[in-house]
Amino acid sequence: MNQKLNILILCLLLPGMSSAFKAGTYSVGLGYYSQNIMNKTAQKITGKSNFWGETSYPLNFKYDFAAFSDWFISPQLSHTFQPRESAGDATRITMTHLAFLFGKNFQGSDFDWYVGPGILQQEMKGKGGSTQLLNGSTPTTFYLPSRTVTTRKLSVNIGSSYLLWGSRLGLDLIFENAFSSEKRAQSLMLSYAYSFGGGAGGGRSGSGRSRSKGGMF
Amino acid sequence: MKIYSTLILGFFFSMNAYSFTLQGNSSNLKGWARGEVTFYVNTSNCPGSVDVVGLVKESLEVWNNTPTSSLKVKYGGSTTSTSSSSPPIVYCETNFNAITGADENSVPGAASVNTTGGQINSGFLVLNASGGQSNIANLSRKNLLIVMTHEIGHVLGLGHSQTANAVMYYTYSFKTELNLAQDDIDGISYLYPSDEFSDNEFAGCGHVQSVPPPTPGQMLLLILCLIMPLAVYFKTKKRFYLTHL
Ligand SMILES: [Zn+2]
Repeated sequence: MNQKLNILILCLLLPGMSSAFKAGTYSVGLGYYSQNIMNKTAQKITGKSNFWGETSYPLNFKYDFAAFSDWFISPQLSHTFQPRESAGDATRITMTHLAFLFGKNFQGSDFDWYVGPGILQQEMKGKGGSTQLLNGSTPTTFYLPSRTVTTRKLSVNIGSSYLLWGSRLGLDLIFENAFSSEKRAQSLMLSYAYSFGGGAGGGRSGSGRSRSKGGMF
Repeated sequence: MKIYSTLILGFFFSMNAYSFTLQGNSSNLKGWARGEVTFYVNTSNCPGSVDVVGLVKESLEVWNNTPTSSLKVKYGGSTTSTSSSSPPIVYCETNFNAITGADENSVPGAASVNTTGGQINSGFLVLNASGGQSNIANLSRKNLLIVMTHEIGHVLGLGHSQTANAVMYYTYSFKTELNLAQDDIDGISYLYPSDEFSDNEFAGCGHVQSVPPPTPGQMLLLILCLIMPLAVYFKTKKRFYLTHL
């Protein structure tokens, strides 16, 4: 695996200091979703790639269940209510990601970590129509996509979140085609979420410094 | 039956600002009927200095590397064909201008597909082996790779993109690296969408036998459906325990 990726995963797993997961907590917030990161796509006219990918801004919803021992299960739904638009607004791409995250709080810390599978769906809605492009010395009609097409991928997720002033700051890595050397891709989600509801810091190792409100992605 | 066979010439100027476009004569193109497309290569008229087979193989891998597309392209072997075929072919043309109508001094390659009912039923990619300045022997390997990847994109069903980062952009003259842009990935995913809940793939492992059913995707959903009630069960059990302390 790429060295940058190893460093990112290491950062995600680094212990911090109270508890981000709280049983019965709802979180609602905004994400910065960077699709196909780590030199996967050309970012410049030269074809040069860099760390970042294509950006969209999903709304995130999450709920924390206390599962067993000090483990939590947190379903997380992300959806781009404002679709990503291709240049010229010819195609609108809506992302929906449902992840089932298993994780726990780092003891005595404001950090948590989690892993889990998910379903990543992308709906591409073409506007149709055509455009004239030069082809040789004469213009040729090129048709713009008109159908609605859906891609659905299983995702493998790993992430960590930090409790800050009653909100959650999160960093998630989302892998598609995790077991394929050819088609594997990774995306990143930075998120900020307001949390409400919820009880104990969770589990036996839950923090003593529990805050009645606040949690995060 | 409508047949579309306009040649899409390599790298010319474009006008409006749109994203990926499609080959063919309608907005309803669905690509090749099968998401597995094999390319055959006729090297008989190719310049000896150019490893056309190697270039084709390398360019095909670029299109294979698209996470949300089910497309699989591969090199199938040699052919003697010089016409639109199914599976598609790549060949070198000494009479490049006569066949394509393109300027031999500025166009290194061209591609064409025929469509029926929104589906591609044959195609070919022709490389410039004329006496003109854009004979492929005069291009660097890097530029040839970009040209080949662009033309293969046409054979797969993509028209020109007007996103400057894209391989399907009208010109390669600014390019120093070969990378697909998100717009190229969007385009190929639109034509060959991957759905792991129906195309017998699991986490990118490739095709797996779904015997017996259900598919691995459905299995995962079943497992998740099982886990959620378990979580609720443990949660309520814990509350029950606390109230009886
Ligand atoms: Zn072209």
